[in-house]
Formats: sequence, structure tokens, C-alpha cells
Amino acid sequence: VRTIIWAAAGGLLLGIAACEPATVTEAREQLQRGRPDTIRLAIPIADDTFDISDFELEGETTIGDLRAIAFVPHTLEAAVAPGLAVAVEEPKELLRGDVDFGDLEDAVQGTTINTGRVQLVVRNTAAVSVVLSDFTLGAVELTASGQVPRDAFGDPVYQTDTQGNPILVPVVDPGQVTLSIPGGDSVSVSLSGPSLLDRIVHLLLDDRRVAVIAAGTATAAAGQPQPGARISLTFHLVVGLDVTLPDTGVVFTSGSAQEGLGLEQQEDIDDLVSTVIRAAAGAIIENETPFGVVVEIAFAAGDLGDVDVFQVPGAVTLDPVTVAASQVNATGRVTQAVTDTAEIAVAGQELPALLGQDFTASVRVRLMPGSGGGGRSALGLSDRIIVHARASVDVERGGGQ
Amino acid sequence: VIAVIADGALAQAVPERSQAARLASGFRRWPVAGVDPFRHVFWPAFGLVISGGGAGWNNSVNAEDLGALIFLSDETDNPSGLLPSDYLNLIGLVPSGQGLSGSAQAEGGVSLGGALGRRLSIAVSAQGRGYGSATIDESVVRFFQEGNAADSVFEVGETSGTALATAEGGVHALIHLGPVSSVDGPIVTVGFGGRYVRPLAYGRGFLDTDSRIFVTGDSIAANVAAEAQYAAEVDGADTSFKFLPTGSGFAADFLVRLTWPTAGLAVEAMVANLGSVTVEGVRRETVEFAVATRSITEVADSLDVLESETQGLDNTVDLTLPRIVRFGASAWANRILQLDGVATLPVGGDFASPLVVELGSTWRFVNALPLRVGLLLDGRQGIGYTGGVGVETSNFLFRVSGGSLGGFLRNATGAVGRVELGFLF
Repeated sequence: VRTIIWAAAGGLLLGIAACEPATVTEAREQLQRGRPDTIRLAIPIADDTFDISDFELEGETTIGDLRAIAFVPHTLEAAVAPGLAVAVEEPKELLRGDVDFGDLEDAVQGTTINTGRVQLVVRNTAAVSVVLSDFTLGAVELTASGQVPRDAFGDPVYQTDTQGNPILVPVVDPGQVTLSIPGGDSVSVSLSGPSLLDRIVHLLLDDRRVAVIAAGTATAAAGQPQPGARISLTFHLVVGLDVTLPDTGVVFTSGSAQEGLGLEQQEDIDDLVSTVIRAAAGAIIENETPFGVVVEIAFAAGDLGDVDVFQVPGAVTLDPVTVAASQVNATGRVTQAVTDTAEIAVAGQELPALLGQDFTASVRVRLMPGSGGGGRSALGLSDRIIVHARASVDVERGGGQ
Repeated sequence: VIAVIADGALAQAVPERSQAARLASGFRRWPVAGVDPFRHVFWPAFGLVISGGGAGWNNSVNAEDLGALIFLSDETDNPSGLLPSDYLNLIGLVPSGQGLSGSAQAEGGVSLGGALGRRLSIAVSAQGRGYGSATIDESVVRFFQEGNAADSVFEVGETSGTALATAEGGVHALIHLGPVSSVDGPIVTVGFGGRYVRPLAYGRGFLDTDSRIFVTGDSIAANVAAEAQYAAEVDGADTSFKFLPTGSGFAADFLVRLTWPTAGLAVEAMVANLGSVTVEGVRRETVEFAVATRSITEVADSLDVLESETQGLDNTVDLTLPRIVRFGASAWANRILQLDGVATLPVGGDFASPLVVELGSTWRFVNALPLRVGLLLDGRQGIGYTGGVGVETSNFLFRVSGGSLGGFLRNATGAVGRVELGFLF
């Protein structure tokens, strides 16, 4: 480089070698000759539509046009005998890992689930039809040893509602009081059970041991004896993302280590810190979801592992960013989208943490309910967020003639 | 006409037997800047001259800036090298409202010839010459100097770079006539010559003049077309830059000089480098980039898949050599001091150069040891300075001269230089 530059300049110019400064500081000051100036460069960084239906979640499914998350399916079995009415009581413990709300877990804990269904497939291996009567699904909190708690009559102690009534979902044909399964056949029914799902989810997220109990009477029609005949109930618990939030919203935090800009030399970092006056990412957000959000971000240099960076001494905490919630109706569905603007900016001594090899960030999100739904917000499949994002950077330079 | 007027108007300022009159007229030509194909044929005796020279300038970085850049890029002195702010500051050095531009010319070679008696001078020469220029559009510079807060449309089509190297062989002759009209009348020197030009290397890149970029915080639209040309060597699927491509050209040079030895005055007009050179086997590659988006990611994705399109492997390019039109005048009244004024008119095209006026003085306190001091006025760079020293004897000649453009030493944004070593028989 030296040779090329000298050659280009015409090395014949007498005395040019004397122009080389003595120190790095002098050299930099030379290039900064003239008045300083501040430049703003702005570029669009995103123009994307995020459809809720495109988000991939573990166990994602739908309830109608509502976004939902399904538990891992489980199966219960009970023996039946032609011509006999058999009392059935089969418990099945659910595990915390049977459902995954991801980063929304903390948020779900603070909400009330308004939509939940039990997708039930009942298979009858007997040659004759079976009728399920007084058949219900309920939830119990297991004892520490995994036993079903029972009352003085030996009945399971089901979870109850606020009135003290057991939360039970009747297993019936639509409009009937029983469920009939033809011989050698299976029947699928979808049962509404928001209270049951709400209770199960909250118990699981509270690290309690929970079991679903199928109980009732299975009556097989008369026929030839058939050893091994049984009915099996395979149930999917499906939680609709139709929740009621408190007015103050619910908060959840996620954090992870991120790659920084990768500068290794402290001089490079110092240079950018002194050059970049302010870097900002701003967005115009068209929110067509029933939620509003208040986002806080904290970050600190280095890979700090699984920590809440908000609690790390010296961490940089940026000003909260708020995106207003849409108007919703009584069922929590979006009736009118809202357009809002948001901006995150870093400046000065907030920058160095982002410029090294790694940094760790925590994001604290306060999920706010939609406006007009009494706290209820239901996430539909057609809901979406449209983001027009831009980045701008203000840099300072010398020079100018 | 000039001769008649001068004959009547000019008094005899230099007696015939004076020291000033004894100086060979060929030594009185000493232009520092620019190509001069008649430089050596003017010399007073037959001889061999080896010479080399060059000129380079830019409109932004002066010598002291250059020293700073060199210092900062030197790994020993500064392990971090150039920092982002250095590049920003460097862009800030481009004068407001201008693009970044620079050009260079260089020549070197050998010449055999000189005066053959009083009336005729002739010389053959073999030279290598190089021309290069580059311009980055003012809009590109403005984007980095001022950002896009106030202006969002950047027309970038005035961005180009060209380099041409040639090998040349030629013959130049001078015919000296006169004195015309009277013994004190002018000696008229008519010069002409031609050079066979062979391309050594050629490369050119430029953006289409309609190229423009629109950048706001909300959207980016770009419509940029670029073309690269270079003499190529194709070996199967591989294409590489080819030196000494096929092609040729011819350049003609003309000169008229009137010298009044006894009046101590000379005027001169030269038109040189008239001609062109054809370069064959030129590969043309074009690329067009058109995007309109609201996401920089899409721009990056588009650039990732951008591919050039070969427009042909065997194109022929005709390049017009940078014409030289130069007028000069010299005056001397004694053996010590000679004053010169030389104006080289501006020229456009690929190797555009501005009007350059050289005001020089040659001091001969010792006849064989001339000293040169002068000013170099450049249409773009401003005032520069020239200087030189020489040894001129009847058998040996050595000159080294240089100059700065746009300022003196540390403030210079360009430089010219030349070394000549001659042996006269």
C-alpha cells in the first residue's frame, strides 16, 4: 500500500517524506482538518408482514380460526364386556413437557384461558356398540407420590371452579347426554373445556403434578363374550390463544447471548464509539393482533449465560418501546388495527457492549390486552403485524474544505 | 506576421557575442509539466537521452494527508490500521460539491538524435507512456459527506476509471529557418513528427450516465448499469487480463517556434498527441442492477445474485489520445535569467486535464548549472510550484525537475517530476 500510494503521488516531489506525521494522533488530526460535520444516514431495513399463522410453535394447531397450542396426546383404556355396564375411572398424568408455550410461558401464567378444547377419539374394539354415560374428563392435582387424591367416599378430588364445583367436561355426542361408539369403530368428538384447560395449564406451569381422569360408565350392548374387548380414549388437550389479561398486562422475559459486531481491538471500539453519535432502529408498526406490548431491552458485554441481564450491574437498559394494542370486541378479536411507531436508539457509552465478540441481552415484554375487550385478547389466524423498519445512524466526521 | 512585427518592434537586447547569446537555444526549452514529444530533438547536439517523468494529481488529498494515510496504514506504527472514522474523514476531504477525481500520466524511454547542423534536427525515440484517470461521482461523495437526510436522489453516472499504457516509437524532426527578414529577425523552427503507438495494457470501467440511486429511510431504488472493458486473454474457460494486446495507432505532433536570439524572445505553439489507438480483443462485461424495495435485505439479496453479462470477447475499442495544445513564450535579457510562460489548454475525454499555466524562471549563475523556479497554475488545483536543477555541458546533460500542484509541498494535491540524462556526441 505504501509503495502504491507513494507512486501515485509522484515520489519525485521533493520533501514529501517530511509530510509523514510523528504520531497516530497527529495523523488522525491531519485527516480531520477542516470543520467537523454530522451526517445522518438512513436506510430501510425491513418491510415485512408477520402473519400469526406463519409463526411456528411447538404443538401449534387451530381452534376454528383461532391460534392454538396442543398438548401431546394421551390414551386411556378401559375393558368392556358385552351386555355389561362397567364403571370406568382411568387417570393419566400429564407432564410439564406435554405442552410448550415457549417464551410465552410466563405470560400465559398470568392470564385466564378462555378457549380450550378436548379433541377426543374413542375407539371401540368390541364387536358390539358401547355407550358412555355420565362420562366426564376432569383434572386432579396428584399427591407428591403421584397418587390420585380422594375424598371420604373414595371419589377423586377434582379441581373445582370458584363456586367449588368440580370442573368436569362431559363426554357426549353433540346434543346428547351420552356418547355411543359403534362396535369395532371409533368416534371423534370435540369438547369445549376452557376451565379445565385453564386449570391444567396453570397447575403444570406452577410445577404441580396433574392427571386427567376419565370417569363414568361404559355399557356394552348384548352380544357374544369377547375377551380383551376395550375402549380407548385418545385425547388432545388444545389451548386456544384466547386469554384474559389483567389491565396491567403480563410480563415475560427472555434472554440469550448474541454475536456482537466482532471488533477485537479496543481502539476500533473506541473509534466507533467516538464516531457514532447515535444509532437507532425505528419502525412504523401496523398492529393487527389483539395485544399491545411494552418492550424493555437490557444488554451487557460478553456471553453471560442464562441470566437476567436486567439484574447485571453495569448493564445497559434502553428506554421502553411501546406498541399500542388494537381495538377488540367482547370475544377479544381484533376489530380495528392500530398503527404505532417505535424506536430503539443507542448512543455513546451504550455502544461498546454491542461492538465486541458477544453480548447478552434480555428482553422484558409486557403483553397488554386489546382495547375494548375487558382484558380479553384472542389471537386469530389472520392476525398479523406489518413492520416498516428503518435504521439511521448519526456519525461525526472531520474534513470538509 | 509575428516575425514582421517583432522585427520592427523588438530592440536588440542580447548582443551577438554576449554570454546570453552563446547559450544553445535548445537548452532554453524546459517545460516541466506534461508530455512533450519534441523535448529532446531540440537539444543542441546529436546524442542519446534517457528520460522519465510523470504527473499525478487529485482534488482532495494533499501531501500531508497522504503522509497521514501512509502512517496510519503502516502496521508497525499503528497496529489498528485505518479505522472507520479515518475513511469517513478521508471522504470529508473531498471539496464540497465535487466528486473525487484524480489522474496520472507518465512516460519514459530513450531518444537518439538532436541537431544535425544548423538547419535540421532529427530524433528517433522509443517511449512507454501511461495514462490513467478516475472519477467518483459527486453524488456518491455527497451521500457519505452529508448523508441522505436532506437529499435522497444520488445520480452516480459520472463515475469512471480508465487506464491505458502504450509503447511508442517515433521520429521527430525540426527545421530551422532564418533569421527571417533581417539578421535580427526570428529563427523559425517548424517541427513535426509521428509515433507508431502500440497498446500495452487497457482497462476501463464506468457507470451508465443515467445511473441513479434513491435512498430514504423508507425505501431504496437503484437503477445502475456498469460496464467494464479490458484487454483479455482467453484460455478455455479462463479469462485473464492481457498485456500487449493486439492493436495499434498513430499519433502526430506539430510545433512552430519563433526565436529572436538577439531580442531574447521566443514564442512557441505545439499541437501534439493527435491520433488514436485501437485496442483489439477487448472483453466487455456489463451488469445492470435495478431494485426498488423497502428493505435493505432485498438489496443485499439482489446483489448476491448479481452477475455480469459478457457482451463479446473480441471487441475493438478506439481510444483518442489526450490531445496537447500548448503555447509558450520565453524571454531573456542576460545570461542569468530567463522567464517562461507556458499554457497547456484543457482537454476533455477519458484523460481530461484542466488548463495548466506554467510560469517559470531559469537562473544560470553558472552557465552549465541552471536552476529552475516557477509557478504552476492549474485550472482545478490552484497555485503550485516548480523547481529544478540541471547540468548542461556540450557532452553531458542531466536535469531533474519537479513541481507541485495545488500548493507547496505539504499542501500539494498533485506532483509532477522528470529526470533526463543525456550524452551528446
